[in-house]
Amino acid sequence: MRKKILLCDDDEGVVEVVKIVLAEKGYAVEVLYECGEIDKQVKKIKPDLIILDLWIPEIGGEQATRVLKADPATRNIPIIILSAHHDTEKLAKAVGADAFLKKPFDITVLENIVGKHLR
Amino acid sequence: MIKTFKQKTRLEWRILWPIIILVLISFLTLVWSMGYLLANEEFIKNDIKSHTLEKAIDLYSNIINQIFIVDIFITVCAILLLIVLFNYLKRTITEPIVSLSKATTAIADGNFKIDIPTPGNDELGRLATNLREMKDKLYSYYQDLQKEVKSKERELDKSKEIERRKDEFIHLTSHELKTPVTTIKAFNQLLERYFTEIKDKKAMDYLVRMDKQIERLTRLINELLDTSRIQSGKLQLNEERFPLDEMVNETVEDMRSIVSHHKIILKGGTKASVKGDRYRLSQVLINLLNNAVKYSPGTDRVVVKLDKQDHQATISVQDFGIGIPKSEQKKIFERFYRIQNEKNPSFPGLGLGLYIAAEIIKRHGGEIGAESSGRGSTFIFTLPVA
Repeated sequence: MRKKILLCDDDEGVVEVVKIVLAEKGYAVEVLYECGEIDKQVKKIKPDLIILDLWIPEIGGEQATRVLKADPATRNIPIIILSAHHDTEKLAKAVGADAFLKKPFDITVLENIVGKHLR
Repeated sequence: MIKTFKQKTRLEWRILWPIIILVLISFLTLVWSMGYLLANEEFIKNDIKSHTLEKAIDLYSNIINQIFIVDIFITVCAILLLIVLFNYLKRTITEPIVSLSKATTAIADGNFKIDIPTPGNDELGRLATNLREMKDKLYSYYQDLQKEVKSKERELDKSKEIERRKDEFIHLTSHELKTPVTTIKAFNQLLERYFTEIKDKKAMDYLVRMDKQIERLTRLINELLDTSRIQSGKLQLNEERFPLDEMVNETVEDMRSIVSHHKIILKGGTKASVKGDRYRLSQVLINLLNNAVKYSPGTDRVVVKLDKQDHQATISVQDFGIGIPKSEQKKIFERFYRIQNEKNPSFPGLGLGLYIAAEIIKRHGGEIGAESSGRGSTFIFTLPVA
């Protein structure tokens, strides 16, 4: 069965390219353009991995990660933080995300990080 | 003496004249008593001579009684006068002094609304008038100062607002500029894969060139953002203790994979650890290496040297390129400064890299400088060993 990845980003361009890269690797990609009621959405979609943009509308990637990591039902889903902030690593660690990806990224790095956390 | 007498102030006169009156009363009483006694001396003597001693004693007692009664009367009057004078002095001297003292205390406490009464046109009156004028001036200065403080507070609020907007701008620029670059870069890499698969060398060559331009654009965006951060004092360092040689090795290794026409030679070592922001210090070295490559076209090597002396680590980057004229060696660390060279008029860049590098080294307690003597230049920076 294909692994399901949930991508939360409000930028159409980024969404398009990440979808293409991950689909070519054989993953099923679901997209959310805002992260209001993220916990409910995640429970409904049941993804194997989540890629969250830090600047996603509604509650933002930081808060969304905190919510998901606090809920026993979603705690074990790996979260990759996606951001253009130069301190992405520090921010990702602070909120309890599993990995980070700094914009602009290499598609190989994206594939490697996703692959590593879906093993 | 006369002069001193005339020079007495009104206030001194006010204290002096009751004393003079009292002295005069005492003196007049004494004179009158003596005079009265002397005036009756003849009668007493005659009575003693005519052996009417009893009569003389009577007369003498009578005179003494009269003097005593008059003296008592004068004393009572003097006491009454003293009470009146005491009240007069209290009202004209003590009370105004107390009220002035209260007024100064109130002014010292910042109460400028207090009323200062004028007790008369003597020295105390003038003191009160001067104090009132002083208070009014002080109040006016105080009000001016308050206005100034309020206006400065407003300015401060305004500059805080500008700072906030600048921060917002930094975040927005970071997001809005980097996001499309992310997409372009990713699609470019997807295309690279595709053309590699179908073995289209020409397309591959174009895409590699495009990739370099995307990297350049990313670097420029980052330089602008870092400069904004430095300018607004928001450049944060994530400090950690790490082995310096390891960081330099990794950075040089990364650069070797990017640089194609130059060989990066690494010499020496420090075996030291430094406390600082690994990412930022690596950024400094990348910048110096990029410059070394950029400003040494036609040459084939760049030398990185690591050294340690006492508690200081030194990292130098040497190239054999166009060099830096002596007059410009200090200016190159200024913001937006770019070397003007007639032989090589166009080197791309914003002139921000060295400015950012210098700021990062300064924040780490180190120093940065450049040496150039004709052929090539050497950039050296120091870091305190942790």
